[in-house]
Amino acid sequence: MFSHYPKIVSNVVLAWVQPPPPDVAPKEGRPNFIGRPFSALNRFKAPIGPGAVVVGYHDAQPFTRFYGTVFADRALEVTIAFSNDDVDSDGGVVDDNNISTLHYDGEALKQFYDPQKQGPTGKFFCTIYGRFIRVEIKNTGEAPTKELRVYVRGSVF
Amino acid sequence: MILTLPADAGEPMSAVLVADAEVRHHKFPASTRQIALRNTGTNTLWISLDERNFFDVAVGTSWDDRVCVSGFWYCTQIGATEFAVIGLALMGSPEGEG
Repeated sequence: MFSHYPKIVSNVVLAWVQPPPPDVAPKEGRPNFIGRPFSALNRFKAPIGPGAVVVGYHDAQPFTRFYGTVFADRALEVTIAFSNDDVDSDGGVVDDNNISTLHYDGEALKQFYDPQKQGPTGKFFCTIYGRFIRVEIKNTGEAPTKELRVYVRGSVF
Repeated sequence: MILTLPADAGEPMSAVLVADAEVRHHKFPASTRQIALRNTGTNTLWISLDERNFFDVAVGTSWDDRVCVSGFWYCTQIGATEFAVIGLALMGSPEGEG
């Protein structure tokens, strides 16, 4: 028997958090409310330098919409794009190794984050335009990021 | 045998697992009479009961069936996903009954 009415607990699709919070083990005798350790989800590896770009990919198929928030001490350009390639250019099935080589022809959103305008530029929402999602963050400021929080969450409804 | 439990009762064998691109096998401590699992992660889960034929369990959904198996195989196409599984063990006859 299948249940086709989805409801999810964890819906962080992509996240960059600087500085990264430490992992804390679940309390004994309590549910593991967050699932995998946050470090397994956090894509942050190093401060994003001026003009530098970081990119994350994820399957978009499970979701109908994407939403999230942006915070940084530098100006950012956040771009969300989708690919509808079902296979790679060699006809191979899409996997973790070739998802970055697909054609992300559908730009859904380009957001210019201004740290002086947190309210209007620090949130986003977009629908799904393709099978796979790419999120790109470019530091358009003049110094490396010291603080960064970009969360992309997926909604199944 | 005196039936003291519902006919579909069984000892639970629970596990919380993470699937990724590598096909892995989960072995239950005993054969099952029923399996229920729920995909709690953010990627589609692929399950096989015979290591050859896989079916998908979408994000946020569950699957259960009355199957007698010792384990199952699982993976994802992309990324990783967490899921919880409960296998119900076949009930043996309590000593002194039957």
